[in-house]
Amino acid sequence: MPFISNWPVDDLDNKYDQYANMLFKLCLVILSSESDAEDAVQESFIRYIRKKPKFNDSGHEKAWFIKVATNICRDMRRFTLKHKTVNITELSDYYQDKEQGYILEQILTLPSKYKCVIHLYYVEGYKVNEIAKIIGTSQSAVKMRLLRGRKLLKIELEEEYNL
Amino acid sequence: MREKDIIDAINGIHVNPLVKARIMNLDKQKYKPKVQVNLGKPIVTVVVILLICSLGLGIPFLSGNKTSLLPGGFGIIAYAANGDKVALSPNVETSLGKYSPMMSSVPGFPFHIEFIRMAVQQIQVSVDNGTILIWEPTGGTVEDKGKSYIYQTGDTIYWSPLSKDSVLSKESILTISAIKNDSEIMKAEILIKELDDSEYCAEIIYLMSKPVKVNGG
Repeated sequence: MPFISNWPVDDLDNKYDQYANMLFKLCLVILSSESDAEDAVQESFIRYIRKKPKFNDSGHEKAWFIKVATNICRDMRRFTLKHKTVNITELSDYYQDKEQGYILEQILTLPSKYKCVIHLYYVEGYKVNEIAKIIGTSQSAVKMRLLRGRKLLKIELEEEYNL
Repeated sequence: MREKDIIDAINGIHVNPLVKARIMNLDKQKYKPKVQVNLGKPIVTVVVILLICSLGLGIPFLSGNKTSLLPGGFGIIAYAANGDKVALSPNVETSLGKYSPMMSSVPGFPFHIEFIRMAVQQIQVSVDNGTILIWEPTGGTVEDKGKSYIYQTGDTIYWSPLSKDSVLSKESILTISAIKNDSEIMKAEILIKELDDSEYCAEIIYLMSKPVKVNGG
């Protein structure tokens, strides 16, 4: 039975430095759980080690990691749907003040299909067609999720500010 | 403006540095690729496990080496004699390699404590054998801190098996204790021992961590 015993550590090190933080943000936003997000990042790298994929360019590579991570998150969410509440105090290392904590909480409590698209669009700067390709859906579905996600987030934030 | 708030909020998220140690250790844990199950393989697997057990090597997947992230959001990082960075895990013997105070270019085994999610008031470090040293590689100065030291965030401490009276210790327990609001919220005991022929290893043999809310309320 073949073991991966001679994986180039430098390559893994480089890939980690390039993608781990980006993947962690994405996974935390989708899963709303720090430990689950860490596991998802680890699992993404395990799949990278196992598959040893060949990439055309760095964009292809980044998209591959995102696709794998979102698939892992989707699978993990199937087992955690009953624990949907977000405890923002557990994530206090990730925001500087109460307001930013509130915004993060609003993002994390969005339905996952919206927050994934919002994250890829705003934080990673992908275009609608690119997101559609990465997550394996149509462009119109991405546009709709983006629109609904934005609307939901904006409405909730405005409601709070108007109080 | 609002979009910026969203981006800023998400960009505040950062991955715990210890996740890197977990991933970089995947290779060392000889991570197995998925294999398709057929009728012959379970029998072979059972035979292999029995062989391993009969050789007294233990069962690898019960070794508890799944994660290097310790409860409470802190990590204890050791550096082996060859410079390899290793995150210590409870009840897992981690090899630190060969070390001799006379032959080595460093004054002892480096240890670094990372507190990721735990706000602490003070960290006390002590050893029962050997000496705690602080070393400034650029200036070349070595400070002998004796048996105990108040750890400063970001410090790398060195444990030397050589004590003041020139006795070479074969083992020592390095105790790390984190204090908050005058009570101990974390305590870890690390057994450092010489196995054979200047080969050292380290293992967390005791770990206590109380959950603490950073933002009370």
